[in-house]
Amino acid sequence: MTETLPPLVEDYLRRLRRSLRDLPRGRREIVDEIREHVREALVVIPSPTESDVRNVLDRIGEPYEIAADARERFGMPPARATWIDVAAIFLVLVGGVVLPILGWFIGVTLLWTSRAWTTRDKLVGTLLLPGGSSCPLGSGSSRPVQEAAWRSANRGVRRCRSTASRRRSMKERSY
Amino acid sequence: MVPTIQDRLIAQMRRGTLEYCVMALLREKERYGFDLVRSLGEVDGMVTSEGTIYPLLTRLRRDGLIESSWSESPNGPPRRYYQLTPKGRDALAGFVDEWHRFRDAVDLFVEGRGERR
Repeated sequence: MTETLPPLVEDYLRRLRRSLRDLPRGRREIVDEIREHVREALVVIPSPTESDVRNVLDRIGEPYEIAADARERFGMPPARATWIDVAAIFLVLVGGVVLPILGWFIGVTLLWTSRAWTTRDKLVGTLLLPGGSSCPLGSGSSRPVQEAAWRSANRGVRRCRSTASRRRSMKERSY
Repeated sequence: MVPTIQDRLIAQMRRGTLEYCVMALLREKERYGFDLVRSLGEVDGMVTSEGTIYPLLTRLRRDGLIESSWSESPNGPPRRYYQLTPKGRDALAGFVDEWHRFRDAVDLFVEGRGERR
């Protein structure tokens, strides 16, 4: 189960785990089974190239597709960014500028009550983002707000502090 | 490309029947995930993203329609094998009856034999 797979696969599985985060149960099982599926698909190829790996992952499908399908299978409503998620990002980033201290504080409260992020994301948001509050937001995109806003936020922090490790920014780029 | 309503309806129909196809594959023998996906993938138009089978298996198991057990594999870590439960067998039999009625009814109309003269 812990056998190392190509970094491309590990990155894919990380994205998958993230996309499935709000499934009530069985997330771990699904990710483990898909990891095993990839292993089985690659084991028959003598020395898989990067394009072989990409091909296997393409056939499995994008994490967001699998997550959307899973939500329907589990009878859950589709994932949507609520106004609270948007407000949380906004306030955590610039709330302190608009309304000193209190604005940021409200933002953090909204962040922690939102279901859109994992605990780790929330910790990062709480501990790191005040330092990023003077950075401009990254460019917007048409991706779902909760994903895009958060990534923009992460980019903002990185631009300011430039302490982010290369590994993390590599990961970010591959999204 | 934005899918049309027709595309979505077809996709929904495929999704709805897929879980019974999975159960039908388990009727004769137990299978592991990769094996199931391969069998489904051999038939054109059944599965678009292979990964979607796994949440489906998890849900069927949660609903008590299938169950799973670990078995040694000849090459690699143990595999999770899925079996049909008695409840799953009943659900599948019910679907098969309904499916035949439905299929015959649809055929009647789409082949133009259902029109009253």
